[in-house]
Amino acid sequence: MRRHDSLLLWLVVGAACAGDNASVPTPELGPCAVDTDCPSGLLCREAACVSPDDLLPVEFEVDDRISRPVATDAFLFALSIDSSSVLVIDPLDLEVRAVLVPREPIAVSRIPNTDSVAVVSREGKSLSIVSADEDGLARESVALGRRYAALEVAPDGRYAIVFTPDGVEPDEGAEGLVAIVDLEALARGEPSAPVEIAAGYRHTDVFFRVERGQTTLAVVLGKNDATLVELARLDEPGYRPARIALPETLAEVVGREAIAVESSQYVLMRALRHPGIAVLDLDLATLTDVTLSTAATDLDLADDGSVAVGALRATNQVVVLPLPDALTSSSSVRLLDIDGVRAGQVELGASGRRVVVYSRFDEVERFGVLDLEDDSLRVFDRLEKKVRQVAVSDDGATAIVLHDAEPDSTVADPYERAVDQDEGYAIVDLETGDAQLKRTGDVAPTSLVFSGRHASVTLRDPDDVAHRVETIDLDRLVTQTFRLGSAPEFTGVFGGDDPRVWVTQRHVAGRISILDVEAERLRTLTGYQLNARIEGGDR
Amino acid sequence: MKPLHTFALANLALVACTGGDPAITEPLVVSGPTVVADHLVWVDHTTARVVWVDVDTAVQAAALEREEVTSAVFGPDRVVALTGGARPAAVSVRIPGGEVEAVELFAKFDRAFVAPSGRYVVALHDARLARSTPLVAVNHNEIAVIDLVDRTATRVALDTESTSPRNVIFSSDETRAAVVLDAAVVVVELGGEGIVRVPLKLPNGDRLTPEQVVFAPDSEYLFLRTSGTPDVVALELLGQGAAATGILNFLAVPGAQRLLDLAVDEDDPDHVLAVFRGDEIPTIAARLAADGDVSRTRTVELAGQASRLELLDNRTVLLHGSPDTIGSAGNAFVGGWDLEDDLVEQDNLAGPTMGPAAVGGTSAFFVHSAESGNATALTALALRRDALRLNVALRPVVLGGIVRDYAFSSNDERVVLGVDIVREDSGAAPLPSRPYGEPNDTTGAIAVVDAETLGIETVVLDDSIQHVGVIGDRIYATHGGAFGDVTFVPLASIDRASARRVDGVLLTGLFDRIAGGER
Repeated sequence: MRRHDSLLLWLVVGAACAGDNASVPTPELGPCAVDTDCPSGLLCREAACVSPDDLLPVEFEVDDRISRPVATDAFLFALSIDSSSVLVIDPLDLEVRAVLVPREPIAVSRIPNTDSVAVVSREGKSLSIVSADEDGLARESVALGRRYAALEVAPDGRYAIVFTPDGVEPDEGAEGLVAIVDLEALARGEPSAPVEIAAGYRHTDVFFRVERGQTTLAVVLGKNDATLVELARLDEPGYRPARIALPETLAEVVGREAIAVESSQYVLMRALRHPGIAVLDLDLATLTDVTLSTAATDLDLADDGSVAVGALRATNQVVVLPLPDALTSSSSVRLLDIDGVRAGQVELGASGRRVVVYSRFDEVERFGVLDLEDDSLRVFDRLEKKVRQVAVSDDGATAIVLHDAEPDSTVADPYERAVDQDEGYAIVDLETGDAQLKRTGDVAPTSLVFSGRHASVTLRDPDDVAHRVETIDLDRLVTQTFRLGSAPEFTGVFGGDDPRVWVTQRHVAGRISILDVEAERLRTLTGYQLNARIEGGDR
Repeated sequence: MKPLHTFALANLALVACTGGDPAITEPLVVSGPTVVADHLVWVDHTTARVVWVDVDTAVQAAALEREEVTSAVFGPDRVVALTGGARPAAVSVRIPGGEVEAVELFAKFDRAFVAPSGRYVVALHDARLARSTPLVAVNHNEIAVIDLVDRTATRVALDTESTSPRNVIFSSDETRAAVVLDAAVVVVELGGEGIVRVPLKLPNGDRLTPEQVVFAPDSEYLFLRTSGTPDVVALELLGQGAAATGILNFLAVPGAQRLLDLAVDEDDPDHVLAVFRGDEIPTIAARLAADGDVSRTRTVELAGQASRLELLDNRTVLLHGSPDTIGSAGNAFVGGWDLEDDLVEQDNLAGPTMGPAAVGGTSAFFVHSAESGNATALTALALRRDALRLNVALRPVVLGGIVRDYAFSSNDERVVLGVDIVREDSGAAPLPSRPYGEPNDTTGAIAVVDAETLGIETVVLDDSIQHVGVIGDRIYATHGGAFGDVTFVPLASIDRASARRVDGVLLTGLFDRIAGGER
């Protein structure tokens, strides 16, 4: 199941740098002039769409469903739209090999437990599997018959759902359609025709239900309903999947968040105008609403699906939903008052026991960690700057806090004022509470990944001079800097225990760097888009 | 080796042997002179002959026995001329023996490039040359790889989108040749079948036009300076034959705005040296790992504007702003970078430079403008390191006269200059046409300056000097005569008594041919 990934945070740069948070337009919503410029349920105040509850901007997380390189255990796969090829990069020697695919490869997704990826070609109206090993590359393609622009691969690698995400103009006649491709058959070289399913309107998410290691169900969320596709019935003549209509307050594409995990039968949803958290039970095909006094401003779900948490910023509370009990017993739902920090966003740790609580629009320089075992809250207040985002390492021992700059700070102490005005981040030991600030001048952190006992932060310089990636030793709280040749775009890690991090950067010919955090070595390959055009061999 | 000088010396008027026929006039087109096997060699395109003279002024000539010489190149022990006509060929003439051998070609080519050993020649069509003959369809993506030992010419199809091949660079081991086009590079195996074609066209359609191309000393990388990017473009060459391929990488230096010069280090083939103009810093010099390992990148920043770099024998890098040609203007900045300790030192010459630096060993000479109009300033630069710092030692010298050409004698670290001086009272012989002289009459003089002692020796010659150079233990100076006039002076005895002059070198054997009924 796809879920919000706490290991990888994508941040919007330059959106909220003003000291007055109420006047900052959210990047997803854009600036406004009147209330009707904002989505339903929001007001326009000082050119920003804000919540009517507290007149603060909407808490946001950036949608990372953008075509970006995909790493398997052994290779990195990047799309070269211009040359209609998939570039397979060996991170050990930066050798680049190219595989031609049908025109305009636009989306790529890893096929789990393999060194293969599935690629959608929009103009080519095809889906391809590209596989790599030391000996060579292989490609199998199947025609889709229509232009699609996104895909999700089932956790067992058996199926791919190909669709048109909201915001992209669907192909003629393809409004609301999705195509399901049997990847196993395609990989065997026996492609079967994709099965098209009518799945409503304006698709925002696709999830899968996995039972005993097998994907049994695909869920396509559209603006107004959820379509549940029983994958075993695709071959049935006349099969039409069940649909569950969403209430009007959830029938939104802007400001709605849906999350799920592989091992769980539930999909949780919240929306700007929806006073509660909706739970879609995939096994029972039912939608249950956990009614609250206000809309949730953020949502998270444990990896094992046993508990969900929501932030209620208007009332400064965190709601805890043990699953499945919360669906049948309102008494199992816990509303916890949060004191000392603003509860705008919540982040469940990998253990499912601790929740990081914070708000981007909090005036105080602190965040909290809620222990769900005893509902106690520990406030970490030894920060020097305001909080923009908080991420916790896999082992739950360390938090990285990405800060906001306050260019209009009026603090009397000139050093403290300079600290306020700078961008930066802090490393916090969650056991001891020790915090270590790293100022980065006017260069804002753009992304963060964890790899083992290191974290890597990329920074994008607005003056286009000092782009860099900084690695953080989470034990020693010490950072090391590596300069990048151009602005960083995407960052990721390789599979398994590989400590390396990859960073793509803006370059007209493609640029990627491989950072070995343990060896403190950064290798950069630029021009990998051009490598697809190099021809070698006998004359 | 000096660049070739191909120019029309004069109109060669030929009188037909039968008499009574009108004179035939055509421009005399010549390549050279260039030093080949301790001889000064010319190729006379007009009469299809090769002429050479040794330091004892003995002149020889050999006829190419072909027509329409289009191009000539000078190897270590031979000259190769491309010819057209009915039977295009690559004709080589050994120096000094004069043996002539021809390799038939499948097409007429415009330009040739010879490998350092002289074994291979690559011939190509140059789209930039104006053609006087009616237009003939030409495939500019076709070249000939000529093996002068095996006497074979192989057609190679470059198959690129580019239309203008412009240069050929050979690897030091001569296993590969890089054919440089306006927006592509094609690396051809010499003595093999492998080929790697690298288009230099960005996904947005912009082209990268190569401006400088160098092979790494081990031939595993090709480094390019191109328009369109401030990065060093590195092409890693892998495999051979059917397995030949390449990986392209752009080596970037943060803050660099424009790449100005590249150099390779014989002792460190895994790195490339580069000098950049910075966005905010005048000059950034960098040592970049060829494999893109940014953690091995080293940079130094300099306060002045340098546009060239040279690696000296003591593993220091000399950075300067001298121009590429004599008479152009460069700036006065000089800097040194010690590669071992990253020490940097900077200074300025007394004035803007007016020609390329003459570099050799651990020293260099810069020619720059002097305060008075009739003198030239010369600065000897040495880069020395001690325990604590790198020292840029500048020692100026002023010479009377205007420098026309200069060359570095690397054997004894002396610079040889050809200078224009006032003829009156110089000791030069009077001009035959003006036995009493005119106030503005000039003549040439050779000045030799020792890089270590700055000792100067001079000898006045009887004519202005066009070019100077060194052959073995002799200095040669060419004069402005139409048919090749040269003076040789021993380095050990720089005086008029020791000088030997030969005039009309290009006329050697010409009239014999005319008398024999040949043109």
